[in-house]
Amino acid sequence: MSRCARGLAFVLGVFVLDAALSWAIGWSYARSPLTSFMRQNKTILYFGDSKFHFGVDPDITGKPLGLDGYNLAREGGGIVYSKGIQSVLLRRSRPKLLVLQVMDFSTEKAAEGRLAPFLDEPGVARVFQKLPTTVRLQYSVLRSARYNWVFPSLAKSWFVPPPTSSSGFSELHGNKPHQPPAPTPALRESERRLYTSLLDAFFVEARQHEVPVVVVEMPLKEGRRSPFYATYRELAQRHGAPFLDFSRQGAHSIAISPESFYDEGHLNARGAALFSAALGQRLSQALNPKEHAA
Amino acid sequence: MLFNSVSFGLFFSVTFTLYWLSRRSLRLQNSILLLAGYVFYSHWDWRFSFLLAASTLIDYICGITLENARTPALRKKWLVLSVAVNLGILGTFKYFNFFVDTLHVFLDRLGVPVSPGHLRVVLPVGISFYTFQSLSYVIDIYRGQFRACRNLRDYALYVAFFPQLVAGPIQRAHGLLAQIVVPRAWRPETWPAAAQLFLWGLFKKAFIADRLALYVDAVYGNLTNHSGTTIAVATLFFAFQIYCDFSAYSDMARALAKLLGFELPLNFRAPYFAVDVSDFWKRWHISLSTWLRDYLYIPLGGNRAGAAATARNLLITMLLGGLWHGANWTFVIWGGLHGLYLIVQRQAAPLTRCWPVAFSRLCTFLAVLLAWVFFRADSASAAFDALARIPSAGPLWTDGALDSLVLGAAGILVLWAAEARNPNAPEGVEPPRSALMRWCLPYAALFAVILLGVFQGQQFIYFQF
Repeated sequence: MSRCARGLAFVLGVFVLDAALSWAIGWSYARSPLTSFMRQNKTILYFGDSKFHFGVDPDITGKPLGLDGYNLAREGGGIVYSKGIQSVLLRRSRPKLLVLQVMDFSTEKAAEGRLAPFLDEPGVARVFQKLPTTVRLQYSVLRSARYNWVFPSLAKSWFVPPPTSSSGFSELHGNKPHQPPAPTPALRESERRLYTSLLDAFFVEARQHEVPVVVVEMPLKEGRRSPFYATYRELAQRHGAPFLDFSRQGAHSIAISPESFYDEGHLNARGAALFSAALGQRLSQALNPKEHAA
Repeated sequence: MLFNSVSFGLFFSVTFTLYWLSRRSLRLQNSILLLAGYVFYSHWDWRFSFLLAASTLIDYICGITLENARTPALRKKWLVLSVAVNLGILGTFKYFNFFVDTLHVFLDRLGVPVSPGHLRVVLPVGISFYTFQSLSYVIDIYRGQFRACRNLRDYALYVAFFPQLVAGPIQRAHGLLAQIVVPRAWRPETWPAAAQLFLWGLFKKAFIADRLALYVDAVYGNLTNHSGTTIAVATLFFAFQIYCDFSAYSDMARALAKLLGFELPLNFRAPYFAVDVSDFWKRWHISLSTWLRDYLYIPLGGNRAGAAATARNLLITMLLGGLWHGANWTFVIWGGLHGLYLIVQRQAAPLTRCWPVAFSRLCTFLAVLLAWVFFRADSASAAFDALARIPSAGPLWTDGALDSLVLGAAGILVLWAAEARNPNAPEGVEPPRSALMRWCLPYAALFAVILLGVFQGQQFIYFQF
């Protein structure tokens, strides 16, 4: 066989192997405990990053409303992941409320990997159409590249099943020694526009499905607000979504001692219990204002 | 623009196509490569491309005028000018603040109050590499070992050849410039080997180095919260992280150069199989160690003037070699330690010569590992703190880092298996003999990178040097 034919055979082999692997991994991922949330029809869905993931226990928050919920927030999550997963879930279920955390625009990690099996769904595909060409190329040429982020966790789940949580919430324990927060990477104007448009689309899609959205600013240890506070606030106002500001200077501020924080930005289990209870009360007031006024 | 990024893939595809489409014209080919070099360099910060151009122009002029100079004194003056300008640029951008801070601490201890002024500049990427490359060119002309290049475009390409511009291997004029001035042969039959070399580099970078980095950075970023066992494992991981990171860059650079019809020399040859520290430096960053040998150690006198002078020369060479890596005392201590190892090794040679090879390798590896603590730590005090903690055993940190531990260790085993077959292989790693393995291994490496590689935009460690 000539060198040229061998080269072509190798490249062809890459594409065949890629197709087989991506199909097998996608099949396995869709049935793994990692995607258990897809099979649960919960009534309140929480979207956010690690602050929300470790800070909101849906079992506590849903109590005043008498509703169950699922915490979809993930470490390194962001608006790309939140928007994508919102589309996937709204196609499959009809929740009663979406709670969206004010997230940093610049800290999102591998949203495309988390959404890997759903990249071809129309809602998620629309999100990905908005991402830079280089990012889209990275996941289009070889389909198995989509699973890069989830594959180690998926492979681990084959041997050690992850702890099943009915609400998606995880706890942090204790207090981490003080560390100055990492500087937020500078955001390009094009990135700001992209994230703002995805955020806008989040509200629009929720309205199309007649599901209300509540936006929540989390408390931080140092008492400051998120750098993207104003953007979320403005969009929430424009779409008529209640905005619950739990930052120290916010209207819904609550007393959380430094001991209830795991680190500068994350609540530990004690803080999460406090915050979840307060969030439940505020959500109840925001959704049933007449009842509370009476 | 990292070699393991999509944007580089696009950049290289365009350059490669244009380059080979214009293979009938050497001038056009060199112009394309030069333009590509500047585009590649400007991608980090376009302002530094002016620095690169200025450095190129000065050494180009110095090279010609030095060669034309009629008297040895005049030749020396031009050499001194070139060396001063090159080291001046390097000193300003890389070492100014370090020396100011050191002077400030010194004067402060003497009770002299001073308020040091700092330069607010970002270190231009790869400055140490292209400065040393330019220096070697002028020195070689001064020594009469190379004729000055009269074509500015060709010389500029020698400095800005993008595969090795920002992290080496450091080239010599007789190696790279000699290839630039002659037409490159169209040999597509060499491309599969180049692609395999690139893939091996990508595997070492994305699968091993960047995976290990997750563990190492977490531990070294928070030494006080980790046990001695964890710090020891992190140090072991760092030894392989830095090796895989840097050798991966060198392999990818060699592969890209090969695709463009150039041959770059091997920069690493299984360094952790070295039987002594001297052997380690024949296998580790070969282009730097030979540069230091030819342009520093031998001019200082080498080993020609007795044991004491040899020891002094070794120590000076290694201290400056350490300082080359960065403006921090940790690098100086790292270099100093290697200097001391080389001195001790020379004295203990009669004793160590009869040691079994495996034992010699283990001792060398442990000595190198000890020095890596200084290289990795943020400060000298942090390094001493880490060393003080290592003997105190404790639980191994696995919380949230199990992936890095398991996959990192697996990567190290793969590397070891690949190199153990022949630590002296001419190409660094010997290709498998069986045809089946030759087919399967590239697939395994490719899909290991795709599924388990870390792609979080980690820069190559040596970019900072």
